[in-house]
Amino acid sequence: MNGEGKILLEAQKTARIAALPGHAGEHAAAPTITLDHVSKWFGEKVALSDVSFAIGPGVTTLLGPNGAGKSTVLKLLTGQLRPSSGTVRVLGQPVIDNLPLYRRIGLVPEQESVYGFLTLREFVELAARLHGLARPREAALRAIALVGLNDAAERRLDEFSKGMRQRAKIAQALVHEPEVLILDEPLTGADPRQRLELIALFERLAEQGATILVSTHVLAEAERMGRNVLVLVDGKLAAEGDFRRIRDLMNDRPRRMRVRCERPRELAALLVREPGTSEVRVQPDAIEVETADLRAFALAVPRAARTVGARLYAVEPLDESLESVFRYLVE
Amino acid sequence: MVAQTGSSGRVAPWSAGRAIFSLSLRALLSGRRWLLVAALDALLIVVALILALAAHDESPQRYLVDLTRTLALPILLPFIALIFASEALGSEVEERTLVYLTLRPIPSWLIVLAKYGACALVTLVAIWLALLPAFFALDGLHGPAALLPALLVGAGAGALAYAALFLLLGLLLRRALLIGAIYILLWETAIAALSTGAAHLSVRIYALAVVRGVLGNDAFFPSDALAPLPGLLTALLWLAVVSALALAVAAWRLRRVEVK
Repeated sequence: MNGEGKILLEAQKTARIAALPGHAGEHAAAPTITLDHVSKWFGEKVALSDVSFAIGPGVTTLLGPNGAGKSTVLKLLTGQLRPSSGTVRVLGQPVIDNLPLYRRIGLVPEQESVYGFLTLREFVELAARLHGLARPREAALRAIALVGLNDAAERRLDEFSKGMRQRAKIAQALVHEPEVLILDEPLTGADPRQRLELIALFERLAEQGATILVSTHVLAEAERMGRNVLVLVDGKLAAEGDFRRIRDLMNDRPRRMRVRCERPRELAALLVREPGTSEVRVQPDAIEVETADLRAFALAVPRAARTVGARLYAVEPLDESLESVFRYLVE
Repeated sequence: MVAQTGSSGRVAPWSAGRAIFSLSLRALLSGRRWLLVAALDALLIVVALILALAAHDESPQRYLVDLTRTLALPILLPFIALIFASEALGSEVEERTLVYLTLRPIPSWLIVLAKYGACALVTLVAIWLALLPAFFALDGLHGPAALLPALLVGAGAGALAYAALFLLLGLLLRRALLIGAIYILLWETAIAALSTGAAHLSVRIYALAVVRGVLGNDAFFPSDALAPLPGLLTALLWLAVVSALALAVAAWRLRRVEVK
């Protein structure tokens, strides 16, 4: 994925795969996951429409509202679905029926269901055996330790809380130390401390060279998990790259800024005349300004404050969060 | 990270197959299916005891073969196989746990074979657990020496074929239990009993042919029951081909299951 975030225009999409140098700027490695003009439909329903992207090692977040097509992408990457058109490649290879490739991929599926009658150790050990590991039990215990569930290793999975099940699913995906780890909403049900621990784990694995693709519809999670974001909206790739840079590139959209100051009414009267300002709201101790020209706004605020003799306390963006990026893309 | 595998770098089919077999066995035994199967087994045993009391001076062994022919093979055996086999892959699809098996470097035929091994084994044990008490209740020990092997081999051959068919059904259809029950009641017991042509497409007839072939004594069968029965070799071959075909289709289908 391009280190420079970008909002995708229709014209950009066609030549984009060739133009993207993997995780250029951060990893400069060859792409490990590539979707090239992939569409997927189920009968009349189009789940994915002409989606193309390439990502390399590191953590990449696949973000989008429910029903955007995130799970469809992840299922295509793990061979659970066949593309209706286009090509899907992982580690340079096609995915469908590629058994040797499955040795190099780990999946944390979306669904909560696990084999409830197994203990955690048995569940993870089963994965180790099916991957043909030489010492399955040791590998299972190592993976269980990674997700911090050592004390629960001999407990049955049907006694687990939702968060613990999520970690059990992560352990079975990690047991064979895959090069590519695909996680579908892996933080669901985890408490805040567990979330931080899991995010730290993903980062550690990424530092060791793994490609980690994590889907989420929770913006705060995406923001914490890494800067590389793919945004899916209605089955289309709406944006990709560093989410802050994506935000910077949205020059055609007004930004909302809050200026905490003295004499807000007088300041507002001056700022509303500035080019690019589309809306000003006056509050008792601040004004909120919507501007399409951030640079001009940045110059205008101190100038206006000097003119009216007002003291400035803070100038802060109101829409720098991923949520605002997301809302804009959805709108 | 680099994937670490066994010294050969390959997954040993035997080891992976054993793991899935063991998993499937535990899954089949962990539910409440056994209660239903135990009730079916109990039904056969109770009927056998009643017949034993009613037999008086007549040959109770003949009742035993009748019981096998009219209740054990056409009703008990397919229902037991259906209860276990339709769940073997069907529940994995339904509960969406199949991905824990399919996204592994193992071929689909191995998954199907291991699953089949587990459900065929429990079906076999369940039907034998019903037939053995019935055999003793109806004084089977005083019958021909081949009587017990005939019953066990015939029911066993039928169990293997039904397990394969219902395993496939469970993979293909969401309401496999209901559709399987309709198939048993309509085809195996009603239509196949009325039509000789249909009987040739009935597992029950071939399982019964195995019983008769191993027993080697037609005196235990009424003449109308003997008419549609093929020879032992034909019956075994037919059951083997049907089982192999069902498993091959299941393996082919398993790799093409799309998880929506």
